[in-house]
Amino acid sequence: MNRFAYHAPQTVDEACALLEQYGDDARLLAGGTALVILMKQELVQPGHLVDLRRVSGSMRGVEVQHDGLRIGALMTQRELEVSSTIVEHLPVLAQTLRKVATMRIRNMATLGGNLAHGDPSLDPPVALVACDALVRVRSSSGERDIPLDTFYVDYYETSLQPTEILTDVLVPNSAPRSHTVYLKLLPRSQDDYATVGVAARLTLDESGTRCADARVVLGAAGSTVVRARQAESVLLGQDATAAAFREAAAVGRREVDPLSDNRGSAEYKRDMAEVMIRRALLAALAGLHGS
Amino acid sequence: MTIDLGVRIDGPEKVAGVARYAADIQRPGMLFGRVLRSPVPHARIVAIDTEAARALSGVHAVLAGQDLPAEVRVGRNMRDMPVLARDKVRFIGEKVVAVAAESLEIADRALQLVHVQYEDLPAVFDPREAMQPGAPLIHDPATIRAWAVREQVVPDYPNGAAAPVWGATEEEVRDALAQADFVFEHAFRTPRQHQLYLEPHVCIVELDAAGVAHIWAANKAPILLATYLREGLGLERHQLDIHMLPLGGDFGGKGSFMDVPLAYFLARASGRPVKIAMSYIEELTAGNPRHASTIVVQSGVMRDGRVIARWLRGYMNSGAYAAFKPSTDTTLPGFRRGAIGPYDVPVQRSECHMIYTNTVPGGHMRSPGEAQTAYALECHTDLIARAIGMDAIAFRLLNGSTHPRVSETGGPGSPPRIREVLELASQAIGLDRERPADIGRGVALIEFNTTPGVYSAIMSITPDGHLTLQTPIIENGTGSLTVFRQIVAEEFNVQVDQVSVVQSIENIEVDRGVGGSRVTRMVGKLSIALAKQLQTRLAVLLAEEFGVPPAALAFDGGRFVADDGRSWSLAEAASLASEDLVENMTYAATPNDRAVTFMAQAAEVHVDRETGEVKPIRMVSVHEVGRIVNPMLFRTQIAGAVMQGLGYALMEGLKEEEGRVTMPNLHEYKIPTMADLPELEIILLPPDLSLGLTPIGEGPNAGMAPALANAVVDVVGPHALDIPLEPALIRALAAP
Repeated sequence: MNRFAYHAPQTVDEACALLEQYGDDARLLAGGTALVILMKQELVQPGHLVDLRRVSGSMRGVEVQHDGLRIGALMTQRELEVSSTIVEHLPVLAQTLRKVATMRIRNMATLGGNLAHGDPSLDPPVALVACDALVRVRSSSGERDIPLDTFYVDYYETSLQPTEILTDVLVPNSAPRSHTVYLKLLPRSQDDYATVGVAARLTLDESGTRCADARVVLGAAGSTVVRARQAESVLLGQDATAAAFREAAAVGRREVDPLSDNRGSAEYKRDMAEVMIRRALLAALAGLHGS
Repeated sequence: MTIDLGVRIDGPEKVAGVARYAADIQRPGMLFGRVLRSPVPHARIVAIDTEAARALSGVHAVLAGQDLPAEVRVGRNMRDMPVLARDKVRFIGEKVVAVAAESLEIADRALQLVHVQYEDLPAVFDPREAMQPGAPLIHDPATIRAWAVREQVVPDYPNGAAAPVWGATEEEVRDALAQADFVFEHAFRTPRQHQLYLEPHVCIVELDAAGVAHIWAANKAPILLATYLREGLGLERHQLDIHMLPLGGDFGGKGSFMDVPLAYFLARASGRPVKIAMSYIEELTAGNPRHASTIVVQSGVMRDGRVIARWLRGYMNSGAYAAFKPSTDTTLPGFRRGAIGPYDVPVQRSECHMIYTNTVPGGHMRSPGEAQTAYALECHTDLIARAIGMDAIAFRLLNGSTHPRVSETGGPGSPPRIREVLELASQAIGLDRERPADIGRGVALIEFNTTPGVYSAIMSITPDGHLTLQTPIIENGTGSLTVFRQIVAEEFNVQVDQVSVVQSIENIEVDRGVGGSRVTRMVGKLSIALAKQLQTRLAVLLAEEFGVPPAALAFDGGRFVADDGRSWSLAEAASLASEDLVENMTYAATPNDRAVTFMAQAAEVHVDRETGEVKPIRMVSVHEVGRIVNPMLFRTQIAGAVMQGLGYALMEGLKEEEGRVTMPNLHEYKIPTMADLPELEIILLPPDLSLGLTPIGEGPNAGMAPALANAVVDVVGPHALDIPLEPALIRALAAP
């Protein structure tokens, strides 16, 4: 590991000032579960490490607001997994976090760190894109909200600027008659990256049978989180049936671009994307019917 | 008297985090050793430029192969490995240049300044390609023959390190196969598997002014390590001071010398103590993993189900060197046992082809050789039963071994309880029950036996009656020290706090060390014999003091009792001695000390036909047992072994492409976590005390992988499945 200067700001403003000062040469440390490994492997060699863990206040907590949830980016994944507010208002996030790595990791890793890492195989970004989440980012020059859907640019690359800090995650209230699920395919160990991960949100119209809206989002299926928009559009206005889901899944498989690796060939993963899209939609429908 | 088993001897220190492992050892002036490894699988070394590295401040030694004595080669038996590559490199990860520096950072920076020029040579990675005429030669055939050890059979084909054959001749087995109603042939591939101990290999070597090498190493067999260093480096026994340390896991992988010879040369060159700690990336890419194999097995079967002939050929990927194999024939000790299995086949031939390739050298891992052959044989057995329409249990019973064992005293022992273990496993897993869709069940039958060895220990008693057992056995995590303490306490009928177990090699010259599931059996037997010897000596003291004939004294209930009713405590007897009461014993096991036990493993799985996922639902492990000393530790050995067997079947394939390990970290290489484990039912037959102290660490490891594969076949149909099971393949076979 290279030598670096260590900074432990107490406020977000102080942290922003440090990023302003050191720019590209600084990296933010939250849980450290990803960054420290990258530093040990010397894939990342920052001159300045800005530790956010002493920043108090706004970057923590979960708040129920009138239009949705605000989650502080420094909340650990384990805190959120067991948060009664999350379990009640955003159960899909609690369910997704339970599938992330191991409890030891989740006790350290933060939600903000996970979203900002830009690894397309991670689980929470997939579920949160399906929930239309936004991330709030702050720099010395101000604050902006970015839809998570457009946040990811390429492998390990987001639209976050070197001077910006991801401070909050905003999750709008879901529409009535809506249910979201996340499925993670793990053919080897349960402690693994997804071979393919799929989040599906299904919103029914007033008739309670037709799809008014849908989200189909995949992880480990391309260079970024993949939103399968064509699969979503297949569903709009259609009756929510197994046949419709099958059709959407067949379209969705063409929207992914997975890599061959130790978890399977690109061809196998594409096949699995189709299987898992269908299963996720079926699970979302089952959730709507309360089963 | 009931003896309280007490807490594990090694427990409190480990739980409190104060146990000092090799990595925790610091010596005054200690340097850090790091190595530059080959990036290419097979190449001639044209030039090595270390000038800039040597000039770096804080660097105290830089060594390349040419800096070491040419005659130095290391190995656990066949010494075919240079300490640093000389003239050429033979696998990606081979050590080429080593530095010792004041910090790891300086050492790493020095390595970046080293320039090695390679001239690539054609490479070969698959053992069956490597043995073909015209294959690139990894070692000079003449040197293989020159360096071969006594029992090593060097074959004539290219890149053969050893190829022993057991049983019938080729002609005999062909003739016998020709007599059969059916001949079945299947081939199975098994992967490299890493032991995945938490603690990587670490060693420290310090040379004193008298030329003694003080060694601290993550190594499980100090006396064997001393032997390797004597033979490899030409050191004398008195020049080696090997410290006993706790071991952070072994699973068969910590018997090798690994970096100790290199640390010795770095210490010699720098004049300072040197520590070398492998990173986990180095462990996964250049450790000493289980050998990958292809096993081809052919059986001649009669219509009634009798197997009359069997020909098993194992093509083992030895990797670039044979140095990590301790067997006297340079193969793997469990190969033949697993190849024959628990069956009586009149004509059989087993061949173990140990073939050099340009890949990481293979070593020992829990049930070495047997994990590979037992996998093939038990899957093959199930496939035959299916093909001839016979029940898997009935087919095994028909062909199962019926020969009585030899007892420890040399007389006839008890017959194999194959029927009992198979039937219990079958009932527990519900082999005959109706199967829900996509649920499969399978069994495997294993014969396990221990190989004999030589063990030494020293037992002493203080005048106040405190007993001490000195053993050169390293606690590798199985709880063996706690078991020894209990055995001694039981022999003297005292509580465990009256017994100490001390780990030391002082005054001990020979000891085979931890391995082969032998330790409880052999050291247990040795401890019992030492206890008897010490009791006899105490009885003699009492006899002299009190005028009782020694024959009139019995040791009973923790006291010496004379036939006239007088009795004396241990302390009363021990306090009579005018000298230290120390008994020293070396016990060379006889063939009768070989333990033979039978066990059956069973598994129930769910196969997802759309994804190819195999999820174990239940596992059963049924064992014949002899005397069990510590029931909890006994069961944890079964559970751990089963878990590694599950990993072997479902996920633990250390993949490599063109000689490069593609799973260089634990993100990629997966072993089971608790979340991956299904319910495990352990069933022990009523103890058969004639079996003595029975081994347990390895057998259940060899049996669980084939039980799982057979359960998968139960769903996807009869196919010879390679492990680890690939979801894409299972899906193709199981497609709805």
